[in-house]
Amino acid sequence: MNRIGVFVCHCGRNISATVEIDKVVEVIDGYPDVAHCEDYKYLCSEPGQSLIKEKIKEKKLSGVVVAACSPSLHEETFRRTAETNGLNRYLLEIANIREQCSWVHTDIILATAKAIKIIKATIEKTLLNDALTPIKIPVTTKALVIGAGIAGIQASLDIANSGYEVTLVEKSSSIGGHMAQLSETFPTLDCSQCILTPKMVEVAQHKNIKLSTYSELVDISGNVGNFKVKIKKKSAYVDWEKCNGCGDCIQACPVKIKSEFELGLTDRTAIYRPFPQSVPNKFVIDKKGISPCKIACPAGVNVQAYVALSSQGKFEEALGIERVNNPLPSVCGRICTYPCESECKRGEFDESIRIRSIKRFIADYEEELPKPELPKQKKKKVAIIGSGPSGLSCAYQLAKSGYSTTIFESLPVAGGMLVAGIPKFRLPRKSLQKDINYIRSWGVKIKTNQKINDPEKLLRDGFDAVYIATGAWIERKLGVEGEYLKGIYYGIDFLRKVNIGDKVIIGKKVAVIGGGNSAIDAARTAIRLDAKNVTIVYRRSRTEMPAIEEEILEAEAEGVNINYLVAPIRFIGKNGRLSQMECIRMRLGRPDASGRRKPIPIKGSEFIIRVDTVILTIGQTPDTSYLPKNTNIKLNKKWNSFWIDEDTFQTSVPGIFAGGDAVSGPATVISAIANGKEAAISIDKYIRGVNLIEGRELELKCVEEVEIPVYLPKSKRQEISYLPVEERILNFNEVKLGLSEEQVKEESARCLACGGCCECRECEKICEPEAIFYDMEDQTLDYEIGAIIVATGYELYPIEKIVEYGVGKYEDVINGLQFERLLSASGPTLGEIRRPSDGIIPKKVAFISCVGSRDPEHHLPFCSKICCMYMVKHAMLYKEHVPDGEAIVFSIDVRTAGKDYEEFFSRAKEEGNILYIRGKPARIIKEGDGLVIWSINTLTGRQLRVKCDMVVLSMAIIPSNNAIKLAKQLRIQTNAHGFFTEGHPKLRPVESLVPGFYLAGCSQSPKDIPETVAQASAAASKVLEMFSKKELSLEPLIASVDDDLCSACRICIATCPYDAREFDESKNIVIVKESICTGCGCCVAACPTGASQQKNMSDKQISRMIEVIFD
Amino acid sequence: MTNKRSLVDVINPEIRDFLVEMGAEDIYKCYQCGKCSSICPWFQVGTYDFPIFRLPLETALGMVASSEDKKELEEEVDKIYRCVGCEACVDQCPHGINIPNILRAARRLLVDFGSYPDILKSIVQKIHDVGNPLGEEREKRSDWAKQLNVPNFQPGIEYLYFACCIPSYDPRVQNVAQATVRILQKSGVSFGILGVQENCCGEAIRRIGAEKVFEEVTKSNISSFESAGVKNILVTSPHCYTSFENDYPEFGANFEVFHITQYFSGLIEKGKIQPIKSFDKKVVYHDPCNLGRQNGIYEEPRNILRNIPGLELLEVENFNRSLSVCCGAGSGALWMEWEKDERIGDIRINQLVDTGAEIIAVACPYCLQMFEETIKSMDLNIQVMDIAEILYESLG
Repeated sequence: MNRIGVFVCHCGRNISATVEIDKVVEVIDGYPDVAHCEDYKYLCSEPGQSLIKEKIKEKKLSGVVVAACSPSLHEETFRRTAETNGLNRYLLEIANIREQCSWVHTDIILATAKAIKIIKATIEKTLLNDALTPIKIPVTTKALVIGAGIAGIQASLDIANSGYEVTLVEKSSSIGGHMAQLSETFPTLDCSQCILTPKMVEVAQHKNIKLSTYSELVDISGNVGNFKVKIKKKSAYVDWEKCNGCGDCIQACPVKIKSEFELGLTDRTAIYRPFPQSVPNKFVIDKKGISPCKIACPAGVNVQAYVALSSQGKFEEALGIERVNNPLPSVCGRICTYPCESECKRGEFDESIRIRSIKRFIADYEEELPKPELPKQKKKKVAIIGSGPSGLSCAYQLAKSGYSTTIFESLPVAGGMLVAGIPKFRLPRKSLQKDINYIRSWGVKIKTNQKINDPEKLLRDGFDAVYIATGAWIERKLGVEGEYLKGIYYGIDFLRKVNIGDKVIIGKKVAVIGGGNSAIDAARTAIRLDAKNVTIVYRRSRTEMPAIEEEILEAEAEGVNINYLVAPIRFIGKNGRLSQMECIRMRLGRPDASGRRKPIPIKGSEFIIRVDTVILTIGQTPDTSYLPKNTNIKLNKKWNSFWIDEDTFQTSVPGIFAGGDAVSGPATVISAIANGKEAAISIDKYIRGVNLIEGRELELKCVEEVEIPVYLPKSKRQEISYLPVEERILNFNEVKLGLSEEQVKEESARCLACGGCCECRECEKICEPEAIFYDMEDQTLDYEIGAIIVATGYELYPIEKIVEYGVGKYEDVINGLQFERLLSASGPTLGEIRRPSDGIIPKKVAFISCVGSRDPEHHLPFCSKICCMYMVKHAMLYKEHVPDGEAIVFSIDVRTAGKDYEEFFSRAKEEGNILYIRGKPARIIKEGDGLVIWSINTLTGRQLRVKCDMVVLSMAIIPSNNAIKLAKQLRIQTNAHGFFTEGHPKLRPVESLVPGFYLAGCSQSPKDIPETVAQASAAASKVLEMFSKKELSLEPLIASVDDDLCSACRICIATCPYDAREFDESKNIVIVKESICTGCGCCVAACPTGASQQKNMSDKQISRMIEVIFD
Repeated sequence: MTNKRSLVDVINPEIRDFLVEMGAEDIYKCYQCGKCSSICPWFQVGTYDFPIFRLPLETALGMVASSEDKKELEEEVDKIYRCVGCEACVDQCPHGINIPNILRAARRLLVDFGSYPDILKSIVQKIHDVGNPLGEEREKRSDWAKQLNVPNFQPGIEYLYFACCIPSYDPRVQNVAQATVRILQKSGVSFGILGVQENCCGEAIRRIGAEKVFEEVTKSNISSFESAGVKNILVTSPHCYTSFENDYPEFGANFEVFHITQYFSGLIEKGKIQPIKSFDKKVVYHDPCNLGRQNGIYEEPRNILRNIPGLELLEVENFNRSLSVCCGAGSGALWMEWEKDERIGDIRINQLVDTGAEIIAVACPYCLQMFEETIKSMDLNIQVMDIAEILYESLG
């Protein structure tokens, strides 16, 4: 038989003022199954509890309902009372008639009726409650601390010193957090580093602390007492076992990146440690990804590396990088179409780096060819047909791998189109020769005047593989009347003759047809051959012209005219010699397949011009006519070019490969070089008999985001110098004179280092302990953990959001942490206060408080708490550093709640002569070399325009950027601003709402160092409290499964956020892992059969309660 | 705002409650940081002390417009009518307190007692009587459009073009309305005007504090729009925009309102109009307060100017977009006379001239009129044009 006792609390007047207690007791007393009902002023008091105790015994109660305040306050108190008197604690329930009734209503009659319903419903629930026993689980007595600032350090040491193991995880490569950045600390002004570093060292040396820096949490499972966590240790690309922290690598690294630790006030290298006192004292390499310039280069030349090395004057090393992928730097430094420069991120900011000119400089800088260390010769031979850039590139790569390579060239000189098609004023022959000599120095044999007609025969003659790089030499025809008249030349034929020194006769009035680089070359060559009037006739407009802009401008400067939107339709001869050309005007229609707008003839616009020479440069196609009739080599129908497999460059005949213009038709020198390199990779694989595709890097992923430093000044690229026009049109001397050494250094220093580490491998050369390990990969480690302390700290509210203070425009408007670095003896100015823009010691500094804080309309509503005090400190330290300087503080309020804080503030004003102005400035505007602050002093009402040399903004502090992500991973709560939520704002300040997680430091709320350390120790003691017990007692109010109803649909497994459901094969049902289930109830709601039920909150109980309420 | 009374009657709850009722409800949020006072254009004028940061707390004490001393009250009235309603303070206030609204509440009080400036009384009267602040005859309201063949608005027409009072009557500003109509005609859009039925939108009188007249004008406008079947309104004046978009819905209006720069910018984007004629001038754009800060329209006017070939668009460094400075004509100030060294317009025009521009582009008839006068009084060598005028020239 059920005997329920109901006890109604007055809670002083909290309940009784709104709920008629007598009425409630009267009604409930008569409710079925109620054996006793009684009210009392304060049930939570000692006499109140004694009352319940007595009645349980006296009335032999089988269940108790306490109608009082929220169960979160006193449920535990009353259940303990029940338990000590022989009643199962889960047979006592709280009916909340305070928060859910008396406090929220004013109408006594309605409130009383509602209180009765709440109590009746609770009685019904209690009647159906089971007597449960708490779940006991063992505790893993190992702690995880996330974040190694002062909070994490303190908590770790406290736990470790108590004899338990701690894993301390930190995302940076060093521990120390923000405290390591501070100069002195308020209010005692003791040196931050001096008090912090001993603790950092203690952490590193503690036998109970496993330090995992440069790491982050990637996964967590399990429940309080028994978590399983996965920690990813990011690859440092440096073996920390070997790294001795000597710092030699810093000297070797050519890359400059803004230092995060110094808040952008100075640069660091790509291989770095955050600061010299880093713990552990180990280096990491900052690889952000592959730079866009390298991705843009068809040959994959590591552009960022040779640019970075050039900025350091390491030109030989730079050339070495270049030659890994490209044996023709001297050529490419002059005539490459530089796709790298169009992708250069600096170009989006101001102007792209003059990469090609840098390349030319480093190629020319080398006075004597180096003697290569030849590899061990393989007994395999490769034949290459054609000594153009593609053939040379392929031969070079194969020779470097030890193959015996022979190039067959049909012309009397090596170089292919480079020697025949490119005029000397763009590519002096000694520059070409230098690259060819370099390639020869690797043992490549070049046989000139040797025309190969049957590539397959070379295989039969004993070559192991063949590369066809015979180019595109067949000139395309215009197909108009009179094309074969005397006086009409084809571009390549014309250029070849001039380049090789054959005699070419041209007239005074020359027209060049076409818009590519060959047209420009032909026109400029014609000028140098003494033509009086040279006109390029192009059928589209300037925008569509494929020739390089720079070359077009050079041509125009030399007197070449360009006639756009005109095309020839007929050549008219006189005595078999060209005398006139009939043209038609064009207009542009819609874009065609090439993406350029298609030219359309305008009817009736025909006109005739007088010419005596025409040079047709309208493109070439590959020459395959030499192949024997019965060849097995397949050709493409279009252009008649060689068919190849696009990834491997192999033709239809195994062992014969093809690339360059012979495959693509006329293309760039750099893509020809790229083809040669790729074909060489295939040939090596083919000869070794391995799969041609496997292991190739077919697609490179570019670095995603390139950060441009905030105050990077815009700069122009270096100007290159030219031969004067009057001089250059008289001869074939090289037109461009290139950059000077100083210019190259300056130009290359403009590089934004998009990829971070440029992979020049200079650090590898210098590292004595051989610790550099470029191919290192991230590591994931598993840990078993009992309790977790989250101490992820803070960051400053982004200063760039404060537009009215000119942030982002004015370099001398800085934030508080930057000022700490300026004060610090180990900072970028070695402790001298010098302003960032020009290094001058500022004689008047303004400090502005509440920037971003206490501004609900634009920024953050809360007070950041520490700013008032550190501003006092900043102003004082500034006066100490610059005694004749003036410190002005703009503040709304000065909040100095803390031990000795107000005294410190008073001392600052009185002894430090620091001027406090009450007011929030509206604007900061640069005037001359000063910053004028617009404000008013609200205490005097006076308008102020204060001119300062530097302004320090006390930025609001916000949780570090990964806090929200971490909160999601850990399933712990944050407030609207991302600060972790504590269990109770007053009574459980260091516990999270989720058991097993504890909070310390600024990740919970803004706080100063003493408070942070106190909270860290408190969190540690909470962890120790848990570890002191043999086992943990968990609430049994979790999910349960009715074996008979479970259909094994497993929906609950998918629904459970805690992985607490598991399929039991033997029983063919899904069971609940009791130690993991948190009782969240998701599975109960999802279960289609009703097999899953929440203990003591079953569907039946809920229905019954609802019935009573609606009764 | 400030008065020198004894401590005895320092709190005047009647006035406080009246002002709170009239729209000064933000006053308790103020923490006296003073940012409003140093962003206020009067701060830049520098010769006139206008400590608006005290206003919220003084309102809370009921110490606004409360003096019984005639001279004191006069000084106070002068202060209350110094606000040009630019809302720079609202934009910068950490709590978003609407200071102009508090002053408007005080102005309502003054208007109720008839103790507000005579010049403004006559403006309110003219708007009430003839539907425009210039006191011009109603019958002449659409004279500007005589040569232009603009249809009167009738059902079936898509847009109502609402020219505003100043472009309707002022001989200089009429050109803006005419250029606007010609551009609309080129684009082929269906639009009409209300002609002599058009009436002042009432924006200025509300800000002067004459709420009753404003309500009268507003209700009559809404009913005439509705009975004509108006759904979409194109406006030249950002002040009309504020009225129709922000104020009229309080009285149940529901029109789609477009500032003409928004509409023109859209026409350019869609290729309906194409500026082709080169306008080879250096042009600085002045953000009108009512268009930019108060309604967030910053990009469209600039987009139009950027699309005009040959035009070099300049910005006033430090004082553009939300940090633009008022021309000095808002909230009734267009009609107020202040001393030569106490003019906001002079400050702004100097900033605009300092950019080296040849033309000041505006998108508001108030700004246009104010700058025209300022240029004359300061004898400056710069020209001011409405964006519609520039655009029309460039369409060729």
